[in-house]
Amino acid sequence: MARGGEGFARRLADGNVTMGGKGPEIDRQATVDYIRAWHGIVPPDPVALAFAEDIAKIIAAFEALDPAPFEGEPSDFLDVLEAFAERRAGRDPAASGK
Amino acid sequence: MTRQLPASKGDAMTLTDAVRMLATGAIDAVGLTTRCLDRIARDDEAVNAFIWHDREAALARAGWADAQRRRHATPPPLLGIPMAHKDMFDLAGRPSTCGAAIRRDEKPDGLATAVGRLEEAGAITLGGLNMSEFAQGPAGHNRHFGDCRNPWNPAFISGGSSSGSGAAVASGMVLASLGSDSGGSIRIPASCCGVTGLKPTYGRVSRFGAMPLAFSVDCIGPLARSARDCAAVMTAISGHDPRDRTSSAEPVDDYAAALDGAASGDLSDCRIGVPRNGFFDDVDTPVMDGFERAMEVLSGRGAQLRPVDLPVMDAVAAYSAVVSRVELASFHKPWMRSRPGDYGTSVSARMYPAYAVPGVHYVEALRRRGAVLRAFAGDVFGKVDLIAAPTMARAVPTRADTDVESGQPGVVARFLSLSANTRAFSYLGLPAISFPCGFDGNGLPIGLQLAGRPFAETRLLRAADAYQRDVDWHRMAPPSRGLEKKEA
Repeated sequence: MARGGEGFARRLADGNVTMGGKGPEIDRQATVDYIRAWHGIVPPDPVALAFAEDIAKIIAAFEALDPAPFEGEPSDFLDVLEAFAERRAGRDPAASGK
Repeated sequence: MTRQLPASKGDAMTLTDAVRMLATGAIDAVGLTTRCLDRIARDDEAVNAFIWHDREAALARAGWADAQRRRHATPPPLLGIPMAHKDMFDLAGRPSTCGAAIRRDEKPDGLATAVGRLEEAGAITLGGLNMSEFAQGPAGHNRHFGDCRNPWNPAFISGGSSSGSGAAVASGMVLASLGSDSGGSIRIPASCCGVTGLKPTYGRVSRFGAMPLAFSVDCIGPLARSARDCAAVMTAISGHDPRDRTSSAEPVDDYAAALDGAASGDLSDCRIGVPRNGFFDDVDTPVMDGFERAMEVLSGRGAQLRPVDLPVMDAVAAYSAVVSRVELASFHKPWMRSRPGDYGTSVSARMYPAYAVPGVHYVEALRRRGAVLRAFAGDVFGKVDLIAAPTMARAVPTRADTDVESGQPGVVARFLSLSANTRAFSYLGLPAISFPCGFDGNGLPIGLQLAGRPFAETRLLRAADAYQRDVDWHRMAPPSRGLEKKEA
């Protein structure tokens, strides 16, 4: 597997991403049913249903991105964070370590 | 037009001023603490920045600090400095309500690393500050302890979720405060209240003993009046902590010393990018005016300004929404099932849909995070050192206009839009600072946000400090609210 997802990063930066196919169809009732079935949680108030309208947008935005199978692990993030640290970029304005 | 003269300059003592006055003997810790306690007594009924405070314990600690100063030629750097923190830290048997009725009687035994480090440096903890319930909500509403109000005008939001931190610093009730930021919760109240707030790089400051909201993005950081004040706090709290496995071993600068170097105030080595995309949609005119004036000041200090296109922002937006919501929902599932009525409506309602996010999506959002950061940082930080944008695109709104429980049309969108300019840097784990750059037509502060590479806290603080050498918005203090009564 590609540590840090360099290939995916390059495609993202190039804007070369593809749709992952037809996304799921989510409506309010599907959201309510799913949450009740999996978590035993019911809408705590009517405002929750207003926020639930947002879930379809969240998932649609997510589905529009490249699936990038077999690339990346959550632990890559900390490695990349340190790889791009100010100190390593050679532009550290005050590199006095404590 | 940006308003040039706020209602009152007040006497905006900075933490740096106080350190100097304590060192010269111009004031002692008991006197300084009494002054802060008097401010609380005078103004907090109107501002509601504190959930609790302990006058006797604070004065006892101040007396101890004065005795320590008499004994030691080189006292700890923050000895005798009054602070209070967002009420979500373990404080060795004192309350930690998290702004929630569910936690109203909690008094954890442990001590949060960040608070412990401040107390080792000599700081005095006055009490626990108001916050959005469980740190959820960018406005500062709180059904259980009352809304924290903007000290510049109580009808307007203080910003959240570190609402009391921003309001207490602006009001002079404390000289610095710790807040937490998982999507803007330090930067937004800093912007709304006219103070300086720094969200550090993910992992720079230990989260041990702090309430978790979303462990992949949570950061602890300071709110204080100036960048120099924030540097003093950051110097004390930063660094690896074996009790927080996500805390970084990256070396820590002496942030306070870095602002006093030979090149301090000179930004000629700093390239500041102004995004062409993502941050300037629908910016209010007074906010844009304040932003442009701030850019002129930074340019006058030598900064090179240039436009920059930010890559992968669609991915950042999509993934960040999934990560923070799901982690938050996970922590709260037992209470959402058994005690949903004990949450404020805006909190439970906002959490509710996260239970419908598929686990596969959550894992993907974390799995791709390194690649997204690589794409963003590799492209952007090859061209610029910092990114500049208004902390909030819109002027500070009223509490009524952002009260989700009102059910008024468009209120959910207004509520969520408050963090539109801050969320991206949380998902990316990048450090970002907000500092005041003017006032809008309602007399409410405007904030400028700068973000940088991972672990670029020194550069951010230097840029903000350079700005604050020329422009003194950060020293403006709101008028006393002592004669105004808190609404029911």
